[in-house]
Amino acid sequence: MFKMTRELVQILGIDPDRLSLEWVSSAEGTRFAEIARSFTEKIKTLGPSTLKKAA
Amino acid sequence: MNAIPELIDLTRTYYCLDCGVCTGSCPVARVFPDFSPRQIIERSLYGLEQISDDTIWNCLTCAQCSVRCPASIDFPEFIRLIRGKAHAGGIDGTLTHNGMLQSIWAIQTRDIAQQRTFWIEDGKTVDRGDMFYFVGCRPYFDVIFRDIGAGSLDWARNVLKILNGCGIEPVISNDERCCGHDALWNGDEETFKKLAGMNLDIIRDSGAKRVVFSCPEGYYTFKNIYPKYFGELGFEPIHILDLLAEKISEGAVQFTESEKVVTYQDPCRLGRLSGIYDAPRNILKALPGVELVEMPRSRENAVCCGTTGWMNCSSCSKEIQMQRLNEAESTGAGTLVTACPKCQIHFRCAKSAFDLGIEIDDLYDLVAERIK
Repeated sequence: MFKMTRELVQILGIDPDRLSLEWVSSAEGTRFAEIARSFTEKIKTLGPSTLKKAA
Repeated sequence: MNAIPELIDLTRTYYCLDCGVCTGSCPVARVFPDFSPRQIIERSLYGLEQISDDTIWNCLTCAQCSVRCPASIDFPEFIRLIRGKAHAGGIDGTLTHNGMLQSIWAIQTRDIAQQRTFWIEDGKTVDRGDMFYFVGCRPYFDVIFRDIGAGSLDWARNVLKILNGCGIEPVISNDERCCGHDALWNGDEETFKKLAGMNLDIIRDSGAKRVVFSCPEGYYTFKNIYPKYFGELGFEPIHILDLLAEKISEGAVQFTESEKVVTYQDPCRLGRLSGIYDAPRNILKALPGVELVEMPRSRENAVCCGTTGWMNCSSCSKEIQMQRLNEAESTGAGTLVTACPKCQIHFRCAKSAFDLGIEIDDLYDLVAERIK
């Protein structure tokens, strides 16, 4: 399903790097925080999405 | 507020003769007796029907009832209008594929830069020109339905091969949007209008005077629904089957011989709603070695492929599809030929879920692989 979604967003013209899938168990709080932090950083680096509202 | 009386007036549903031909003809009622167009009309006329009623989402809008109705009541249109009121009140049908298709067309109403023409490869196209090829949702279907072997982009490549074979080099645009057919039949008129408006701008900007369709839904929607909302289109929608049948009769396309016995599924939007019955049959007859055998229920009596608008797919849909595929198989044909991407997806889904012998082929694939 994730691979399919990546392909679909690419056709829609959305950078597939804006999509991420990670599995984190309830015992891995630190890892969850790390992933959330690094993905937030990545999205900030990528800048605003082209997905603006149509005029 | 119950808005149904207003819709009764609008569609003149009060002309109902109580004859029940609608329910007797309905493919859903046959497998799901709780659904009855006649009862929905009856209940509406007596002020008993509610727009929140679940049954309004079960109609396939296949028009089997309306073409037979002696009072010419357009039941699918009545249902569409009720769905519009329901949707506006926050009530929707049960979306299939987790609403993925609805999300895709919603994103397409935004200012995006799609990358949807990568499949063209060595096909011949132009940036601006007289003819626009409206590809439809295939680039997305190709991804979503790969697991059931349906929706392949080979179909679009083959349509382009056929167009090129007829000497036509069409415009194909990355900016094309969903035609809005399914949003409209989901009761989401606002999204339909956004998508339609964007498509009209894109096509008008291309300079095209003719737009060729291979998807029956796109063709029907552009030809019959767009003018109702936007007036004069400024271009002519044509179906590739009409175009190809004409080119074949002129002798402009030649085919190689290959033996195959097939039967043909008339898609609702192509047959009952657009009246294109002969062109696909003439094309099949023009293929050397291909023999067409008809199902007992064909042309205006053809049975719908069982689900529509990416919602309310159920065991009833599967029952309708199974019955239809068994009908196709009992003709003795080894292959059911479809001319609609939705029919292909729905039948291949049923075939993959049950152990059925019949092959399901697309008309354009059949034609393209035989072009000399």
